[in-house]
Amino acid sequence: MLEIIDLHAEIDGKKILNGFSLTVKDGEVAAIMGPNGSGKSTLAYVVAGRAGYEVTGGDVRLNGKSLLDTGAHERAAAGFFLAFQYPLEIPGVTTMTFLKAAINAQRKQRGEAELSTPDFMKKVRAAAAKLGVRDEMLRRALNVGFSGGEKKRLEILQMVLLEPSFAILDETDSGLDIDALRIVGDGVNSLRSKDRGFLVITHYQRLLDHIVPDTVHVQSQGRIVKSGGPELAHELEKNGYRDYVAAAE
Amino acid sequence: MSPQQSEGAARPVAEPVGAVISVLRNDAEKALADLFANSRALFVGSAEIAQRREAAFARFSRLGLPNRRVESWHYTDLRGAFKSALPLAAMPDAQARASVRARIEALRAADTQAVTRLVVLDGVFEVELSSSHLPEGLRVTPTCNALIAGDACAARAFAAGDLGQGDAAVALNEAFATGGVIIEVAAGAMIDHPVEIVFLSSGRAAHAIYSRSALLVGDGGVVRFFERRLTHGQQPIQRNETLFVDLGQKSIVRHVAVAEHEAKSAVDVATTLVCMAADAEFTSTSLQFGAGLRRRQIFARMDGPHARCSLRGVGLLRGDEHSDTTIVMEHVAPGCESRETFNHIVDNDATGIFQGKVTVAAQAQKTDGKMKSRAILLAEGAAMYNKPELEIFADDVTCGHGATCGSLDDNQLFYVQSRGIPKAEAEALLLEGFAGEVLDEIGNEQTRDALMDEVRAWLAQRGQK
Ligand SMILES: Nc1ncnc2c1ncn2[C@@H]1O[C@H](COP(=O)(O)OP(=O)(O)O)[C@@H](O)[C@H]1O
Ligand SMILES: [Mg+2]
Repeated sequence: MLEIIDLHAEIDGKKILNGFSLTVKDGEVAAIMGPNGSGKSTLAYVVAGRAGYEVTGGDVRLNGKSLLDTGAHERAAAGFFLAFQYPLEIPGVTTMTFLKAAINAQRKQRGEAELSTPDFMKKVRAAAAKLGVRDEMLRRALNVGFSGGEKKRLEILQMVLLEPSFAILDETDSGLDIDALRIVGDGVNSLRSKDRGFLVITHYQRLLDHIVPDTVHVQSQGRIVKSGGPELAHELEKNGYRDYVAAAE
Repeated sequence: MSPQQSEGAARPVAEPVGAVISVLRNDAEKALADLFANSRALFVGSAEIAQRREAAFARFSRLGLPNRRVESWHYTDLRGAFKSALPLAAMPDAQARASVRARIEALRAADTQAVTRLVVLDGVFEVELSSSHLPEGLRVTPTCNALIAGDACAARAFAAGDLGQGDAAVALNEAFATGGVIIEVAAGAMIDHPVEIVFLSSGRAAHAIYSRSALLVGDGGVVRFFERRLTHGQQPIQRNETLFVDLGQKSIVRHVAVAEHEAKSAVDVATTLVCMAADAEFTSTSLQFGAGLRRRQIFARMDGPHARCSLRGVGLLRGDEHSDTTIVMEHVAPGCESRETFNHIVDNDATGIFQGKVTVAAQAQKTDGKMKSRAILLAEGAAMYNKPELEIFADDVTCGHGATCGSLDDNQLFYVQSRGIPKAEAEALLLEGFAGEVLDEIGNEQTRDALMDEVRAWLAQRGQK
C-alpha cells in the first residue's frame, strides 16, 4: 500500500507539490491524469527519492513505513519501482549486466542470496520473450540507441524482474505504438495481484483500455482535484481538463 | 612502406610550431649535453645512424627540453620535471633479471592465450626473460644487434624518427637509444597468437632509459600486438622509449597497450610512430594509468590510400598523477579513415590531457576523420585539458571532433540508484561503463575482459579510500 499524505515539495524554491494526498491500496490500480506541468513526474520522483527536491511537509509511506528518510536504492529494495517517463541511457553497461546488478543489489539489501547466473538468465529470457525484447537488446548497452518504445518496454522488463510491491508508471504509453501498448499492458496485467499496487500516470484513455484502473484521479497544480472511477477517464478524454484546472485556480 | 623510402620523409624535418629556442640551459640540459658527449662509445650503429644521432642531438640542443612554451607540450612541462639528467641505465645483470622474473611469471600466469612475450628490461631486450619459441613468419632482432650488424631493420627503425615532426623528446630518444627490439612480420603472414613487448623498468637505481623498438609488418601481414609498460622498483626514472609500427599494404595490426601505474618520481615518455601503406588497418586500444609525469604521444601518418586507423584509449588517474596523450594524425593520401576516441576518469588532484591534431593534406581528398575526447572528473581538484585541432587543406573531407568534460551525470546516477543500487556502486557501474564503452571495441573478448578487470580493480580501490 502506498500512502501519500499532504505532501508538499519544491525544487529551487519553486513549489510544485501542494498538499498532494492519495492512498493506493494493495491490489489497486490507480490512474493519475492531468495537464502537462501539473507535477505528475515530480510526484513520481519525490516518491522514488530523487535528490534535489525539498519536501516541506507531509509523508510518503510504503506498506506503512515512511520512505522520506531513505535513499532511492533503499526504497527500491523495500519494494518500490518507478518506470521513468524518460528512461536514461547507460553507455557501456549492457542491459543484462544492469539487470543482474539491480536484482542482486536489492537481494543483498534484503539479506537474500544472490541469484545464480543460470537462474538469472532463465528469468530474464522468459520475461524478455513475453515483452518482445530481443536478445540483441539485452546484449547492448542499456537504452543506448533504443527507440522510445524499446526504452519503455525495457522499463516494464525491469519491473517484471524486480517484482516490486508498488510501481508508478510515468507516461509509459508515450512513444508506444498500438502493438507495443498491448504488450506493455499485458506485462503490467501479468503482475497485477492482490498484494501489489500500481499508480499509472497517463494523458490518454488508450493505456487505460489495456490496464483498467480501479480509481482515476485528476492532478492539477500539485494536488489531486478530483477522484472517481474508470468513467472519469472517459469523461476527461472527451472534455479535457479545463473544468478541473479552472476549479483548482 | 617505411618512411625511409617514402616521399614524405625526404622533406626537411619541421620544428614544432611555436617552439621557442631556449638559450638558457637548465642543469638537466647541460647534463644531457655532457652525457651525450661522454657516451659516444656506447652508440653502436652505422655511420648513417651515427650521423642521425648527431643531427638529433643538435636538434634537441636547439629546442631544449619541452616545456610550456612549446605549443605541443603546453600542458606537460618535461623541462620542469627534469631536475637533472639521470645516468643511462646500466646493462641489466643477473640480479636485475632475477628481481623482475616474478613479474614476468605473473604476466604469464595471467595469460588467457598463448602469447609470444618479448621483454625489454631497462631499455635492453632480454632474451632470457622472453619467449624462446617464435611462431613462423616472425623475426625478432634486438635493436642493439641490428645496429651492430647494420641490419636494414635498424635503419628503418631509426629513420622512422622523421615521423616525429621534430619533437624534442623523439630527438632525445634518437640520440641515446641503443636498445629495444625489432619485430618483423613477414609479408602475408598471419600470426595466430598475440605478440607482446613488455617495457619493464627494474627501478633498481635512479637512471634514464632510452629504447627504440619497431614492429614492421610486411604487405598483407596480420598480427595482434600487445604492449605493456611497467616499473618494478621505486627509484626515480626517466623513460623515453619509442616504438615504430610500420604497416605494409593491406596489413592489419590490432594493438592493445597497457601502461601501469608508476611512482610519483617516474617520468615516462612513450612515443609511438605509425606509418601506414595503402589499405592497411591499425586499431590501437590503450589503458593508461598515471605516473608522476606520463606522456604518450602517437604520430601516425597514413601514407597510402584507403588506410584505416583507429586509436582509442582509457585513462584512469588519481592522486596527483599527470597523464598526457598527444596524437598527431596525418592524412597525406586520399580516402583514409581515422578515429580517435579517448575517455578519461580523473580523481583527486590528478591532471589528464588529450591533444589530438588531425592534418589533411591537399591531395588527401575523401578523408574521413573523427576525434572524440570525454572526461569524467570525480573531484574538485581534478583537471582535464582537451585540445582538438583540425588542419585541413583538402576540400572534400568529413572531419569532426568533440570534447566533453564534467562530473558524473546526476540523472543517470539517480536512475541506477532507483533500481536498488547504492550510490557508490552506482557510480562504479557508470564509470565502468564509461571505460567499457571504449574497451568494448577490442575484438577479442578475453583481452577485453582482462582490461576490464584492471579497470574494476582501480575503481574498487577508489571505493576503499
Ligand atoms: N528541476 C526543476 N527546476 C525547476 N522547475 C522544475 C524542475 N523540474 C520540473 N519543474 C517544473 O515543475 C512543474 C511540474 O513538472 P512535472 O512534474 O514534470 O510535470 P508533469 O509531469 O505533470 O508534466 C513544471 O512547471 C516544471 O517546469
Ligand atoms: Mg511528466
